[in-house]
Amino acid sequence: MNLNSQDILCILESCKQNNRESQQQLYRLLYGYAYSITYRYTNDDQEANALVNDSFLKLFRSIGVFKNGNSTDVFNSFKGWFRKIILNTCIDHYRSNKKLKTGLIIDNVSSFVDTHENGEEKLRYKEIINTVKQLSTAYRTVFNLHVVEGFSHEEIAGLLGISVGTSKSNLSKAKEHLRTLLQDKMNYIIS
Amino acid sequence: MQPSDKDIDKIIKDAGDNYQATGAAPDWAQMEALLDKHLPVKKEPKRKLLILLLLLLFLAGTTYIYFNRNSKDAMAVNEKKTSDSNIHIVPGRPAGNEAENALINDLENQPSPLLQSNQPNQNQQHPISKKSTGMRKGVKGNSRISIYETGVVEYSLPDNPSTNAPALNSTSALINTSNENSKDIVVTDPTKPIENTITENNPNTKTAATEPVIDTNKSIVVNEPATGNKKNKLVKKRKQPLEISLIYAPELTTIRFTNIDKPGSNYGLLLGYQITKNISLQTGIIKSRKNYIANGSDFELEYPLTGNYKLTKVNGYCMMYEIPLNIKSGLGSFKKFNVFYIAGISSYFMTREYYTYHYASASGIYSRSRTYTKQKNYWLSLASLGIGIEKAISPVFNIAAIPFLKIPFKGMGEGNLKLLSTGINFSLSYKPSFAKK
Repeated sequence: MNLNSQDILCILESCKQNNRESQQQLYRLLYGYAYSITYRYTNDDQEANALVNDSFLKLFRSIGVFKNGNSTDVFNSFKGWFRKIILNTCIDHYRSNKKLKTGLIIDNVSSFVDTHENGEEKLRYKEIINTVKQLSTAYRTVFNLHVVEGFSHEEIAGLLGISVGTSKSNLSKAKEHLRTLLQDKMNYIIS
Repeated sequence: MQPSDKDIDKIIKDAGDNYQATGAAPDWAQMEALLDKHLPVKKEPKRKLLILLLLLLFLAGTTYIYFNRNSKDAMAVNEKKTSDSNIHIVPGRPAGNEAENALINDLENQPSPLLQSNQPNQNQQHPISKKSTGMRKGVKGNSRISIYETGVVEYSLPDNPSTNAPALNSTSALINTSNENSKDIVVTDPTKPIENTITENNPNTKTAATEPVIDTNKSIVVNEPATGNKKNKLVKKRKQPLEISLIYAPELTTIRFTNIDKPGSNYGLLLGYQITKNISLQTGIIKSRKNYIANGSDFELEYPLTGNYKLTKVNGYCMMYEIPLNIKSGLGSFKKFNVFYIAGISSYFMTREYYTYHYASASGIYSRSRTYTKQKNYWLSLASLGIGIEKAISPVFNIAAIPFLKIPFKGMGEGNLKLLSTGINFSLSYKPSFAKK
């Protein structure tokens, strides 16, 4: 779907009026983007899908707050704002379930079939993401927030309600596990 | 060779930034259901407009019925007052003092020219026969008329009709006793010619249009009261405007016409006050139990479910007190039944709720029950409509059956459910009446 900035602005304005058609349009436009993020923080597809829907619900509730500012690229600006909502949803989900899911390495990760993959890069990305999903929830969350999202340990400690030391420890352990899991694949991935 | 930390970070960051899960299929139906629940499209203005329109129609209908009834009553009164030829006393209604006085005066006045003109044969059976009721005194000054509520006027004549006959003239009361059960009494105006009100059986006597003719086959009997010349006063009864009703109603409750559980029940006490002949106001207190089943999508949870749990169904009941404010208006009578309609607005005070929640997840179906005892108040939150029939079983007691519909304006209870109820109200009403002094 090729939409220019004006189209995006129209859709956003219409979503502010709680128009269902525009909301559906925006939903289909950003679903994949949201799913890619939640997929990294969850154990299965259903959970990832539930987090996507919760994120969109928060998005539509607070869409009136979004202001484009001076950015010429409305869509990317909006995506960046939406990304924060998704991350907050994933973190809230982690915090509400962390008592049950800390300290375990999940061996069975539901496979995600990318039916549109074409090229080695996407295959690598898929394998890497699935490898990360093999980590436990605590390690995986800290790893994603620090390495992928770029949060500092102080910020991660504040978001997850843990100490800075715990955040660093979890990250270190996550990398140690990943090093082992990726050792066999690294030559192929790097080459 | 083990990858360094930097290598791992770079690879995974690239994967996280660039990987798009394009195979994911967006489920808009699920998302829309979530939006309808938490961010519904507002339809309030139209609903408010509809409610306003219904109220206006109700007021217009009540006003029309009220003025229509009043105008009919006024016409009836005018006809009675302006009628110069006949004062027709119908069964069940007491005669007016005016007619009564006319009858009494006439009986105490001149002898009947009618009888004189007809030249009754002494040997013939007097058209007005005697009745052995112990009233053998002279007519004049002693004859009385008792007019009962049944409308039967009875008077007797002395033996000699020619001298002491009562004034069975054109000014007299002419009684049509065509049969034993006839109760009609016609009192004629002495100043006007009398129309044919009595038929004569004697074929030789012409019936003049202006001359009353006595039906010789009929007997007219007058009862003389034992004491004095005092008139018998009519005893009128006057009904008070208050009405007390006991009600019981089985009812069914549904949410958006999806599921129906076993019937609930209402019982209570209503107090009515009649403000006009046909309109009365009602209020009271009703204790109600409603049983219902709600789909999971209709039940609003305070906190959304986590994980992959989905609420499929909720069944339960609630106990509440209802305070109605109703207008009851008569529509008419059918045989021995009175037909009326009731419209009003009620307030609900919910005291107890009990629900069983049914969840579904990938691992199975679960149920959990919970009781809520925190009182919730919903002022003027429900409209009720009903059309009923009422029958008097005694002068002061009525029974009625009123099919009704109760429409909520907003959701109630823990799940914010719009409880639509229907049923039949059975009532026993007491409307006291006291003797008017």
